Amino acid sequence: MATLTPRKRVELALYGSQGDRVPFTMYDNMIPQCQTERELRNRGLCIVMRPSVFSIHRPNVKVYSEPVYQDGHNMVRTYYETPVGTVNALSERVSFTSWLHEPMFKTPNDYKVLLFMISDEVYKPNYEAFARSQAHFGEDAIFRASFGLEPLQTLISGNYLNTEAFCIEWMENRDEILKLYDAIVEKRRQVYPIVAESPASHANYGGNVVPEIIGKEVFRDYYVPHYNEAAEVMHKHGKLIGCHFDANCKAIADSIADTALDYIEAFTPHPDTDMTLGEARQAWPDKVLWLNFPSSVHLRPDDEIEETTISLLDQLSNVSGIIMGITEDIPQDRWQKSCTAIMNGLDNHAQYHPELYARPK
Amino acid sequence: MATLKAIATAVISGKAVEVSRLVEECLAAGIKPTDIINNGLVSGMETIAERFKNNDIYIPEVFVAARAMTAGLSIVKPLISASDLQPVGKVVIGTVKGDLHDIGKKLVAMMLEGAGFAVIDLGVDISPERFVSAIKEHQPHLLGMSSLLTTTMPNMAQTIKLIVESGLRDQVKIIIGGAPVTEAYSNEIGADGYAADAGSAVDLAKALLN
Repeated sequence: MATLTPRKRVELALYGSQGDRVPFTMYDNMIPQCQTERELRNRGLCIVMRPSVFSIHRPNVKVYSEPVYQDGHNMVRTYYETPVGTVNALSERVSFTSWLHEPMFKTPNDYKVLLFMISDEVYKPNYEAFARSQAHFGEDAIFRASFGLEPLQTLISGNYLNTEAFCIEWMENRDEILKLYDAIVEKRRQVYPIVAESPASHANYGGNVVPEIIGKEVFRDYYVPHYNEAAEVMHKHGKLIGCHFDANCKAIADSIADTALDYIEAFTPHPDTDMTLGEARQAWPDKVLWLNFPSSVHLRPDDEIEETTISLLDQLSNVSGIIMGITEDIPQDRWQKSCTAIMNGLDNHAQYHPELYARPK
Repeated sequence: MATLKAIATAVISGKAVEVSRLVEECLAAGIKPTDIINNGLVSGMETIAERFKNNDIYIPEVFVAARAMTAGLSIVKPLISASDLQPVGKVVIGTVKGDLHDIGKKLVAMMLEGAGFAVIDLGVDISPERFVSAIKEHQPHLLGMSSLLTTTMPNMAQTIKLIVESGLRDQVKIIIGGAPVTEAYSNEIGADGYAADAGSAVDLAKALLN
C-alpha cells in the first residue's frame, strides 16, 4: 500500500476497509486555520466539508428580518410572509452556529402557514460549487452531502417548532403535526435523486435523534422507512448514506441495525452516551462507525485522552470501517492538545496492533 | 364525585383541564389541599416518573403530565399556608452561561417538582454571578446545573468556585448533569453529585437531602 492521503484513508474506512491507521476527521468549522491545524493535517487529519448539493427556494414566501436587542444579546427576528399568513422566528448568531430563541410556530393558527412554506419549497441542484470546492481542496478533505433532517426530526429540531412545542403538539395536535410530516416526506422524495446524482460519494440523512423524545416505536415507524427509501436511491447510484446519531442509541439500536444505512456518523461512545464502541460494533456489525470522540474526555489530561483513544479501539476485534472524528466544539484552550493526543493514540494503536492494519508497501 | 385517584389518573393522561376541574371538585368536597397535592397531583407525577425511567413513556408524555400537574397546583397552592406547604426540598436550577439547551434541564425541574420539591428554574445561559445571587435570594437546599456542551462545562466549575468564594458552599448541595458531563467531572470540580438523566436526578436529590 502506497502512502495514503488523509482523504484516501477516510474513503478506505468508509467503504468498510482500513488503511495504515484509523483516520481522524474534524468538521471544517470546528478547527481554525493555524500552525497546529497544519501540523495535524500533515499527520493525516482529514477535514470534513459539508457544502450543500442543492439550493432551496420558496418562490411564494417573502422573507425579511430586523435586528433585535434583547437581554443583552444581539438577535435577529426573521419574518416569513405567505399568502395564508405570516410567522416569525427569533435567532442569535453565536460563533459558527445559530441559536433559535423562538421557533416559527407560536400557536396552532400557524400550522397553515408552515404547511404552505413546506409545500412551497423548490429544490435546484447546485453541483458545480460542490465539485469545484472538492477539486480545489484536494486530498486534505472529504466532502459530504446532506438530505436535510428526517421529516419528523425537521419538526423537532428544525426552525419550524422547537422541541418543547413539538412535544406538546405531538400529544395534543398530532393530526396537524402529521400533516406537516406528510408534506415534508413528499418534499424529501424530490431531494433523494438530486443528492444521489450529485458529485458527492456519500450523504448524511438527518440525525440528532433523541430516543427519550420520540421513543423506539416512533423511530421505527417514522424514521427508518425514510432512511431505507433514500438508501435505495443512493445505492442505485453507488453512493453511501449515513445518519448523525450522537445521542443515546441503546433504545433504538435494533431499529438502526435494521436500516439500510451504510454508516453511523457522530456515534459518541460511553461515557457520553449509553453505548460503548464495542456494543455499537456488536449492534451494527455491517455498518461503518464514524465516531465523535467523547466530548467529556477533551477536558481530561493529555495522556488520559491518548489512553482513551487506544482503549476505545481495544474494544474492537478489528478496526475495519472505523473512523475517529470530532463533531462537537472543543473548548478553545483544549482542542490543540486534545486532537494531538487523539492522533497520538491512533498512531500508537496502529503501532501496537499492526495485524489489524494494512501494511504500507 | 371526584377522587384523588381520578386526579392522579388525569395527571398521568396529561389532561390539564380535567385536572383543574377535578381539583375544584375535591376542594368543594372538603378534601384538604395538601392531600390533593400529595395524594393526587404528586402521586400522578410519581407514576409518570417511574414509567419514564422504565422507557414506557417518553418526554412528550412527561411534558403534558407536568403541565397538568402545574394546572392543579396553581389552584391549590394559594390555599395553603406557608407552614403547611412543606416541600421535600428547595432547588434552584439552570443551564450554565453560554449554553441555551433547555429541554434536559426543564425535564429535571419537572421531575423534581413532581417529586414534591419546590423548584426555582432560572432558565438558560445563567452566569455564575446569577447562580450565586439566586442562592442568596432563595436559600435552596440544592443547586442544579446543566450543560450540554464541552465548551460550557467549565462554567460549572466557575460557578462552584464563585459559590465557594462567596462563602455559600456549605449552605447548598450541588448537582450537575448534561450529555458530556460525567461522574469524574463532578468529582473534579467539587460538585456533590452527578445524574445521568432526570429520574436519577430526583433520586440523587433525595439522597443528598437525607
